[in-house]
Amino acid sequence: MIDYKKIKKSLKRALKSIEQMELLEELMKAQQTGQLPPHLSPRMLASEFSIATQQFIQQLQLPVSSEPSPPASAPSNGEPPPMGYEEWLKKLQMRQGGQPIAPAPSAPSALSSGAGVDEAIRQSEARLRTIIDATPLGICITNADYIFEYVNKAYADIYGYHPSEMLGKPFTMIVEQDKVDFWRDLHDKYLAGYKEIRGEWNTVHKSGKKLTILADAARIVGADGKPKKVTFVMDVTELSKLREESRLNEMQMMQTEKMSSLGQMVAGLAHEMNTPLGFVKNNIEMLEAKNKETKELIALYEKLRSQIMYGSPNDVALLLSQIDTVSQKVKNRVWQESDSLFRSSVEGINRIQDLILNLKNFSRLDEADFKPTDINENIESTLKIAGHLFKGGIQVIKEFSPLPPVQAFPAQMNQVFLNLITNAVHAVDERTGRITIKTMHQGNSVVIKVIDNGKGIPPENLKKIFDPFFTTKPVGQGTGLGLSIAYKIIEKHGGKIEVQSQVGRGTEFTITLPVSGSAQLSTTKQGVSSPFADSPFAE
Amino acid sequence: MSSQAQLLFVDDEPLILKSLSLLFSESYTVFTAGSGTEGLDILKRHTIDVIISDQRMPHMSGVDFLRLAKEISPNSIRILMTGYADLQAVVDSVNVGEIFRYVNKPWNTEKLKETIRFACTVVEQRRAMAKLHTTAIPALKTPSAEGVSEFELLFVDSNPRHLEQFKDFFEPKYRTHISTHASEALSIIPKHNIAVVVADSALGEIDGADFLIAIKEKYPNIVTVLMTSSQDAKQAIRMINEGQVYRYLVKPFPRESLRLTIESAIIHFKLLRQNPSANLKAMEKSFFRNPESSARSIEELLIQLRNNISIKSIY
Repeated sequence: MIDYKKIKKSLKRALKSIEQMELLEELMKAQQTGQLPPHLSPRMLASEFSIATQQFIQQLQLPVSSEPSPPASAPSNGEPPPMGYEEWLKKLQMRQGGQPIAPAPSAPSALSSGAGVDEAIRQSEARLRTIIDATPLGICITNADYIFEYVNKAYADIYGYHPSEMLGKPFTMIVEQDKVDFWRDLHDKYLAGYKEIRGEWNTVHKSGKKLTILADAARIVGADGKPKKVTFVMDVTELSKLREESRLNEMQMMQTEKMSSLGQMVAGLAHEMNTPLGFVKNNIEMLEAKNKETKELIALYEKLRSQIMYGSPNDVALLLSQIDTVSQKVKNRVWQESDSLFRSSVEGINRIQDLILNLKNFSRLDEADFKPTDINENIESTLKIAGHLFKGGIQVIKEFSPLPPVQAFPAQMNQVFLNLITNAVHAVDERTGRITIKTMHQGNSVVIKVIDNGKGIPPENLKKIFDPFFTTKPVGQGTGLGLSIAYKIIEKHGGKIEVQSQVGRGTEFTITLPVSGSAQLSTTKQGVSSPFADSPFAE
Repeated sequence: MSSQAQLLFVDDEPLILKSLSLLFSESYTVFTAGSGTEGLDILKRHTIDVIISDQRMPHMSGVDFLRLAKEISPNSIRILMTGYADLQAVVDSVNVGEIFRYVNKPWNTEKLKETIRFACTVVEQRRAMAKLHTTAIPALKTPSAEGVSEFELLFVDSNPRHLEQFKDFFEPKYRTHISTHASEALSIIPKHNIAVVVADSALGEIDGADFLIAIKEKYPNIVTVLMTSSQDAKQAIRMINEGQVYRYLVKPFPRESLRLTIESAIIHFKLLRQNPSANLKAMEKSFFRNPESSARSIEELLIQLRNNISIKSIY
């Protein structure tokens, strides 16, 4: 009758879904909003758990109030929303070959006639008790006065009590004492049918230790004809701790990746700026010395003028020879080259100006928002920032088509382009390397291709390149996060990133971005619905 | 001067080469090369006194170029001048390129001129010495296997367990002194025939880098090696320019690399003793007439050094 395997499977699925939480995605979101999600996608977890508990209810054939649980709001990652309870129930019944059964009629009227029926009820009750006591799922029944009318062993175990210590007591014994009013209110609203319980909650163990539980509930009508709440509970404290730990680890790694790309960029930029600074400063110093000599010459000339008018021929001759000496000194190579020294100094300053402008464009700190973005322009400024990478014989070919503006975070897009370009530079030969960057407008999409003629990626690595921490670089030279971050960024923008590669021939990355932007991004700001772990449904 | 000293500048930026050659063409014969390969070619054809190279260049880095330059023209003095170099490049420039100075771009013209003037004098003396003794470089004989070396080592590290390991590793071949304190270590030196001082960068109250700079100032013949677990490019640059450090080891390092470092440091020590012109620190002291240090304690020595550095006219 009871399909424990199925329950176990559902529970396992719930556990798995916790593990599979897309940490990175949440982190990216956190980066954009500057807020950390208190829990990772509790909704997804809840919907899995909900299926498991509903299945359980069905298996027990508990009389359930016919009102369906409103489905949890659709998860943001495009998965189908969890099934409504009724829909699910029907499906299950059909699968079992039976007729869809109507929800059981309310208990008192159905159970009031005949001894045979009484016997059947007794048997049914005994069976239920056995099953409920044996299940690893915590189950309790509370009434409208918040009193535990029933707790199974698993439920009491979760909180460190014996069932007898809980029975007859208000359920608020297991919640944080300053939130008792909130919980009572929630309980009232649940029984009245306009609040849901599904999700993660903070509760308190007998020892005072905080527990994170995953809960779902059903409304039933008790033998006394009054509404009751059946709650199903699973302790996920350890899991949420683990999740938190791995989240912190990922954060650290992301930071390392950011710092390591930043470090490389700073190194390149410092060199790119200090080089022109070196010759500009030197040129100016040399020209300054020349300027002093020229001034000296002018002073001598003025003296000469007055000496010609009023002085002796001897004085004039002396001054003339002085002028000759100084002018000989002036006319050295620096003087001969002074025009080009001035020109190259201005060029050097222009170069520095250009770098600073592009650095500003690249970081887009002044425009951190999601906005219409010219992808061609972004690639241009990224190329300038990455300019120091192309110093060898690496050829860069730009094949840009006119593009409509794309809804995007410009700084993030630049991060993606810089990553792809840097990878391409690392893949190609310094002398014969060729990197082609193409942009195209196709239908409602913008397509960007970064193609290199480098060493290519072996098939066994190709499927792993977007995995976090996958790297073929020696320890310390790459965090293996660059492409996984690029992947996440493109995904966030509602686009996709694909790769094709042939060993020895080269690699081609293709990014496709929707022109109109994605619904996902526009809701990102509201995506983190609430900072509180105990209100997963508060929008 | 009958013939001008010859300089070689290597940089992939033509405007740097032009600017520098104009700066020095009055007093020197200036060669320029746009790449390491071109630079090596010039070294093969001309006698170059001082080589000044950029670090970040395509195809061949400055450190790689200087390593090869050292083989072609061992008497030349090597200077790395760059807009930016990461720690690895700085460390390699000491250990592999054995450079005399590390100069940041944009440079200070007066200091650069003085540095190059000094470097040229050193090379001139080296050449004169080489003419006197046909063998400028002493025979590189390692002591016989069973014999105990006449040269003694001094290790300074705040970790006594590391010190014990060093002692175990080098004795009995070398008499090895150990100390956890800079001031104690300083008092050991005059009593023994110390050839090499190896110090950790973290010595508690005194920075190991400062300590080695002080040792080199007081005893220019002693060869110094810095061990560090912190990755600090700025410190490494100081160790080159102020401390003329012989090797810069990043902890943890393989035993074998420490052994090789010590062996080659001993050879370097012999070279310094036999050929004063190889001793850049000693040359610097006499060239700039630095007063002989009268400092007794390490603290006094460091204060003197700091004062000297602020008035130094070279890099």
